Amino acid sequence: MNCERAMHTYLAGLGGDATATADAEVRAHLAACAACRQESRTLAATWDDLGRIPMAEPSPALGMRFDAMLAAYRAGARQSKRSWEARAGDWLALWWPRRPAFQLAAAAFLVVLGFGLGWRLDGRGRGTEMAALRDEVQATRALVALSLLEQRSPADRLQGVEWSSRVEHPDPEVLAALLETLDRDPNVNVRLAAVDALAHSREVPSVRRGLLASLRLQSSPLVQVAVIDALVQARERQAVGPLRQLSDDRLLDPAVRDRARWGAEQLNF
Amino acid sequence: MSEPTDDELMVQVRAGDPEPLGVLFERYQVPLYNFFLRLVGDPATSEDLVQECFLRILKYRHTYRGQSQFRTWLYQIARNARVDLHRKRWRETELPEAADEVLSSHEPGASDALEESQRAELVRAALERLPEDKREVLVLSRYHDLRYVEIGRVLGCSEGAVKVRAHRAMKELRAIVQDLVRERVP
Repeated sequence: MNCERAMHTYLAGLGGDATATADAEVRAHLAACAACRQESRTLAATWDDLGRIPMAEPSPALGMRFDAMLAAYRAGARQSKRSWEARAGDWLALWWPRRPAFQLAAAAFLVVLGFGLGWRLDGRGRGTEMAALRDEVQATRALVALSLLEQRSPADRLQGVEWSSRVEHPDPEVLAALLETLDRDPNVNVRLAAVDALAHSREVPSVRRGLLASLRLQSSPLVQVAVIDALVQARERQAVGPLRQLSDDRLLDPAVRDRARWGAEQLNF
Repeated sequence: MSEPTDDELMVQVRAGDPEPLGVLFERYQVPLYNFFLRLVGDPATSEDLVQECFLRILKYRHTYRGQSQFRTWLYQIARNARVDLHRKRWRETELPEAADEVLSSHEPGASDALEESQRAELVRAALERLPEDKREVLVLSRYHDLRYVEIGRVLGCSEGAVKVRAHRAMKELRAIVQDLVRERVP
């Protein structure tokens, strides 16, 4: 065994990827080769160093996003099981949007349209049935909103924010997705739309907390002003201190500082 | 009763039942997140890539061939997802600032006197400076317990090529660590 092969095998052995025979051959080589003994110590030390980097945990939002993705997939799968579709599939494919985000949006729109037409034509919608249908429509809208918020295209994500506004009482999952969009979306327009959508749920404590926490994360003056306005609308008195701090921050845009001062005054009034 | 293997779960997903994907997500979200984190260095991008990975598992489930190769297949998908995203959106994240931040924040001192956490940061910074092809090999072999033959399948090269690349990567990593220490100690 030559030096190069010995070191390749030694390194494989550090990861538990060397046979007993190869291991014995390497040991024999090391016993006779001082240079390889030195290099093997260096390799082992580097291998140990790599083990010092701790495993990191993803945020809980990742699990929520996965659940939303799986739910959207299930909904899509249910719709694709309609028996007539197999026969009409080829024809429909000509009309059906190709991008999954628009497919979901279109599917949800057709479901909502179907319910609406059915109710109008039937005219006998009993209270409990209608409540169940309404719940289903709301759930579908939430699903579409969550799915669209995951998309790459800013236009799709804007649509996702818009769909979330159609949900009468957004559930925590939708609100969490909107807050995450506000904190992390790279597109200013999407973040602005998220502020508007969240303002509709300003009575929810987690939304007010999220808006307040987001204030410091925002770099765009437009979004900062929109968040300040939303906090004032929500009468979030916890924001008074942070707004005063912002109004004194000379690194901020003057318009933002003025708005923060105004917001603090409004909330203190 | 023993838990179903990855392969058994993925075969069910391939057959059209998405529910077992939740179990696979629980098993692999942290390893995949760390795989991406060590390659791109950005937590938000890494989470996006994990999500993308599981979307692709659903999308390309019919390409899964079974034979207990789930992990290899998964890391092939992960690697492709990262390469695609890199091409499209995150070119600038390849050269993270973390390495310089780590160095500038260190107190002077010999490398063996570094605190454990500082040492870990130093190695992480060195890993990020390593060329991508070498970093991939080290990450897969050191943190994901893939054998060289499996890494070869993920990267599309021979087991022998992986051996050579891994050895060179280790030597280069050691050299980068030493450079970083020297930069710290004038």
